[in-house]
Amino acid sequence: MKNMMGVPADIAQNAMLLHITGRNWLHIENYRKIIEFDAEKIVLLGKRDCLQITGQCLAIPYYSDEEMMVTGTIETVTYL
Amino acid sequence: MKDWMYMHRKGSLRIEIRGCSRERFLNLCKAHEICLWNIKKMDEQCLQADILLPDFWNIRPIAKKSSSRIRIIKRIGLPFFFQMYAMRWPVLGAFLLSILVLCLLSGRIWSITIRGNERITEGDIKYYLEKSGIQCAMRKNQLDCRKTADQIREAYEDFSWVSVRLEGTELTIEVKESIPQIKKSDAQAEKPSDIIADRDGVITKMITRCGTPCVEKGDYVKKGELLVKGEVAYLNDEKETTAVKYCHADADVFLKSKYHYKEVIHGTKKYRVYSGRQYRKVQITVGGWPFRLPFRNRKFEEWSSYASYTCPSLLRWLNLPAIMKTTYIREYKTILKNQEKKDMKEKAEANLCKFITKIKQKGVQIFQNDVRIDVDINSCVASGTLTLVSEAGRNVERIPTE
Repeated sequence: MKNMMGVPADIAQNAMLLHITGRNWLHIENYRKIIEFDAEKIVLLGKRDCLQITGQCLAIPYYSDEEMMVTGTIETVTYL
Repeated sequence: MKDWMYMHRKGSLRIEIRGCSRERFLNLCKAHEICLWNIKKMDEQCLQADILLPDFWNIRPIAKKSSSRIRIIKRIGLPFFFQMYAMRWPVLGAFLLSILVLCLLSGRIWSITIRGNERITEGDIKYYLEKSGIQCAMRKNQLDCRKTADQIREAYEDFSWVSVRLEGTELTIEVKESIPQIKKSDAQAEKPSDIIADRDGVITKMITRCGTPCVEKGDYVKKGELLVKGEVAYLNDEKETTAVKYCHADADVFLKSKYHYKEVIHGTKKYRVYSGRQYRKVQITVGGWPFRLPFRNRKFEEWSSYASYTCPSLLRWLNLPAIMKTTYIREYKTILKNQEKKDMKEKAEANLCKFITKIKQKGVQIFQNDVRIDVDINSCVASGTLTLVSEAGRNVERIPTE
């Protein structure tokens, strides 16, 4: 997805970029910080909006300044 | 996320983060570029995560700021391993020493194997190798396989092909021997000799190729009697000897001789019945010094033993400079059993048949067989005379007379 200038949307709009593999792996880029972390719910703050992930046995195998990996049984991914 | 090797080298910790602001703690770690991974929520107040050992020293202010308490659950990696074995330095020292000894020993040859030789003995080849400086315990880098193969090929003309290869600590020499060429040396061919009888008998056939025959077909000769004289006489027209030429007598002489055959089979036969009780003795020889391992000695009335020799090796090709001899001592009881007449007779016949087959394979013909088998209760006796026809005569050196 690119805008008229040919710049990708995640860079142009500072949007979060999500890659979901099945329902067990979720890779998130461009997030700012963790608002809430629970085994059933993870809430992340992006640069423009807020993302809520719900599921069972949620865990964070790794996270860094730019990206994060969430594993577990993912049920919903909601923008707040 | 760091790779497995990096984590083990630097050391990592599994920590428990307990407090109300766990998310703040995670965000602060991110801001301070402290890497956490495998983050799991354990209960309402508690998180567990992995952290590198160098980063662990920097999380105290963060924990204080986020009002969290940190507890170490597990330590993983080399720094902790060395710390654990710092108090047990002899174990670590022995481990490192064994690796050092292994490295030193693996740089030398500890076994020489020779394959493919039939006529030239292994001992002979090993003696030659020893003289050339190739022996057990020599350094591997001192050996040039190609040069050694060439040397062996030059030293032994009978070897048509030689291969020398080094596998681990084992030197393997494979050879192929050429077919021996039967040739008489000139000196032997020219040396005058006679043919004499090597046993008593009647001549049945005689073909003379070189020399003067002294006997003829049908003659009875005794052991040591001259059969063919190693000289050729030149006669003139008056049948007078003008010159004598000495030669190496060559002839095929066949003798008919008698062989007395006798075999006794006793009526009672001894059998060994093994009880199954056994013990073993182990002896390890290192550098010519034997060491006997302790064993539980048992006293058997009748016993037999056999030994096996093995060369212990750590890996497939890493032979240790030691020989392990295992001796097994097995208990048995001797039982006497009476044989039936029929069995004894069958055995005597089989033995006679085996004997005849064996001498026939050597080119001997059976002219007459007068062997009788008599059986009674106590024994079976096979006795009689075999009349054999076989090649006879051997060359003996003669001194030429004027």
